[in-house]
Amino acid sequence: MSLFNLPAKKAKTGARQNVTPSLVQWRFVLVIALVVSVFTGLGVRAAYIQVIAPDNLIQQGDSRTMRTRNMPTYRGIITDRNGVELAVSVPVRAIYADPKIIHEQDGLAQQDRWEALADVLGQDVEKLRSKVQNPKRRFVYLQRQVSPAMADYVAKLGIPGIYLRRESRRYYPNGEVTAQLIGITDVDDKGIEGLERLYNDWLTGTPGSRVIRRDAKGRQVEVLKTTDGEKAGDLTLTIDQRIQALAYREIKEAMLYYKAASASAIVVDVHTGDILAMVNAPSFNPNDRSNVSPHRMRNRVITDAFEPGSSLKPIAVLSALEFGSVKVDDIIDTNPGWMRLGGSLVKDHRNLGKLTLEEIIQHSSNMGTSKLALGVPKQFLLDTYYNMGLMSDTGTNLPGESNGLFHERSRWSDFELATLSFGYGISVTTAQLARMYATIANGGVNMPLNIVKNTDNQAYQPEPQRVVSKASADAVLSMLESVTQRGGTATKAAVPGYRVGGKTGTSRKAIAGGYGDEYVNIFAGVAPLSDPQIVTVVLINEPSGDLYYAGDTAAPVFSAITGGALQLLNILPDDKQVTSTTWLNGERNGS
Amino acid sequence: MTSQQSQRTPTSTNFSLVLILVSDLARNKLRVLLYLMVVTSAIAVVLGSHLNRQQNIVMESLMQEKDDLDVEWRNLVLEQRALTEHNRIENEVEKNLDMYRPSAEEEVVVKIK
Repeated sequence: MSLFNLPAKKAKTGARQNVTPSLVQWRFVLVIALVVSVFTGLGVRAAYIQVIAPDNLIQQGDSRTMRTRNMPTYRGIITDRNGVELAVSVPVRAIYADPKIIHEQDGLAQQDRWEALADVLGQDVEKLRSKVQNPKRRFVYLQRQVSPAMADYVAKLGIPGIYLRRESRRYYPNGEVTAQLIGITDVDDKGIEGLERLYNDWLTGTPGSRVIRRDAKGRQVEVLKTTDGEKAGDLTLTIDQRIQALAYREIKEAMLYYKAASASAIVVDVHTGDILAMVNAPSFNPNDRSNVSPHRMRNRVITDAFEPGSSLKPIAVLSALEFGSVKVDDIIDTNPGWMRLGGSLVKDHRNLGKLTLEEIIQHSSNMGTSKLALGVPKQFLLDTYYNMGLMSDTGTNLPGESNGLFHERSRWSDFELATLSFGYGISVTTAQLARMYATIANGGVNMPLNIVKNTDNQAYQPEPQRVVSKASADAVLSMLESVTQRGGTATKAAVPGYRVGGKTGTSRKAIAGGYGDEYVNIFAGVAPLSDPQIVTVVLINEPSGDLYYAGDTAAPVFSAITGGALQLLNILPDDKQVTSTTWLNGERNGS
Repeated sequence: MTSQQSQRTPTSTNFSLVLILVSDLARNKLRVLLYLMVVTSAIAVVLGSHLNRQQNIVMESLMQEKDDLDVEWRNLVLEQRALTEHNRIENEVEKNLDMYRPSAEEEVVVKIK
């Protein structure tokens, strides 16, 4: 207010009132009005932008500074029991094109760049260009699973409308050794076979993301929101990769040497039921499966059931011992080496005469086991087969596992019971056979087999349970040793330095209307006998060379695998004097 | 303030502006203090957000580094496993180092107890 009054005061009191410029009222008002309107305009505009319609500018700002960054997640790592990685995912890129953008920006004109692209992808340039001919399409993969180095090169080509996308690729450093067991994933990182399929959910994580604000240089200056992804779980198997590799090598050599259709082996830890190795031949390379036939992908150890033949004979003995119809040192008379049961003939390859229980197993006498089997009630016999896990799943939960083949029937003829005692009329998988031998070796306590160590899954797991008495199991176990000793059917199964026991099985393969000319050779064994640690089962399917008895084919393979495994597991030799002190003393004496 | 000035102006024309300012400020200690605090906190806010941004930038580069290292690690693991594959090692030592798996007679067991 004082401002307005000031000139008036001066006019009254000052001396030079004549020259005082008079206030031109309308100019003054005009200036004031203009000034006020400018500021009002600014204020209104600011209010409009800030309060009434702020969304547009917020959006404009965000589109320049706000970014969503995805945090990559990779499929979990599968390791063996010692932490050796068996399956690892690494990032790769997918190259894809947006034909619409290519046509809009005339990307096809750069012929030399397309030739460079076709060159690096190893594709025909015309074929590549024809993929993006249709301008209506918005997405077409040019190549997937491209290495990062190659992807960088493609990015530097700078063809408009060609982009890269992150994806990951699964590598199996052990290749064919563990191929069937671990299985494979498809191109979208989804497990489609084996353990990859069984534990697909566990192995798959969900990617996290974070919303950030970036500055002009593209650096992250503020994290607005983070969404935590679910971390992919890792899987620890019970497999020991060293034993697995050893077993695979032996199996593969055996398959080629005996000209077999296939071969498989399984090594099981007796006390825990852990599967230490599970191998199949022929196998495939899981890192390059462009020409893999399905029969190579099958995990034969658990999917294929065979009539186990003589390798099931210990059960007949065990059953008789458990029931009490015979004592450990009883003699069974198998004269005259054959007998007729309801019109069918049961015979040994020669007349073996009077045999102890041990000799029945040692010489694999059909007569002996038939007599033992017929000496116990049929339900008790069948229960023993059932309790040893021959008609149920082994507990691995692996996809495609077979429970074997067994025809439940209410009436059994004597001949059928007799054939059951020497392993015909029932089909079992290699894994089931291994579980049966592990039960005997474990003093009659039936352990479910398991393949995964850190399992968090609450899937049904059969409990370990005692199925036969320790005395009977131990008695049968010691009888098995005779098989690998002089006079037994499988001296080639012996492992130097260790006491091993086992049983051969040479069975003919059933074909329509009877039994054909093809054989299945099995050797199942336990080592070391004084303190059983591992059970190994070797199966050689359809050997077509000169050797087709299990004692000649499967037994040496068993010996090689078991011997190597015992050494690798640092298990003390029990068949020779071993002390470090004698060796040290010998060294000192200069011997 | 205007009233004080108009009181003094007629009595003495000889005065020091600095003196006035100082005495004036000294009389309103609280306001001066508040003013300084406002300025300080404003600077602190600017500084804080700047430092925060710097930390964010560092964090991003560290996360990037972590991802890169993870990728490198995965590739190295693959390489290691491919090179140390059990059968490959056995072949190599047999061929190049003239080693072999000891037979049962040659085996020496060292018990640790």
